[in-house]
Amino acid sequence: GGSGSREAVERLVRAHPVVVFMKGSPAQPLCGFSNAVVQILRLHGVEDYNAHDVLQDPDLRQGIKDYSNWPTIPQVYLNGEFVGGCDILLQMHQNGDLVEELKKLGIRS
Amino acid sequence: GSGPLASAVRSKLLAALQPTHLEVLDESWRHGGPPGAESHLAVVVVSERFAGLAPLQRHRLVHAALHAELAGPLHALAIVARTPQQWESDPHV
Repeated sequence: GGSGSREAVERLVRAHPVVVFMKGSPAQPLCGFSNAVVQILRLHGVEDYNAHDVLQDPDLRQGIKDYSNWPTIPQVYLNGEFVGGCDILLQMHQNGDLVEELKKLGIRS
Repeated sequence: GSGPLASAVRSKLLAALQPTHLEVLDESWRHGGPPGAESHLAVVVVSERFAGLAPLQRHRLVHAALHAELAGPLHALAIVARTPQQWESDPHV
């Protein structure tokens, strides 16, 4: 299938320990929620991650929603596992869970 | 938010989750939309239904109630989902 097929999405999700599907790019986020995810990762010193701009690829935009059964963008994946969107990442940042999850990936923040 | 989408969101969340506290805000202007665009909404939902559920599961309950809206005009939805006990001990977002 195309870039939105389950196989294609799964490959992207597993291609890197930290994968983000967002609107815009880390250098130029085009939505406040996507920007929040970029800022949280930056706060934790996570600079090396794969980011995919769903605005550049409508097929991927729908495909990632179907894959995670999650209707909104951004979406964050750690070690191939769906973690949540901006609100959940912010919550994990505030309660310390994100530090623990990044530690499991060998990332010190 | 008092537009038609916010009203629909409000009544669906009331019916699905019987919240003890509910706020629906239009934040579209913060995400590049004009005021009243209703593309980006934020909800604060306080409900007993969230008891014992992790954040991901709580959000999925909210998404399920708003399935039609999320498939259509609603592009992004910020969610604060707490139990009445959590809300009582810290009524801030």
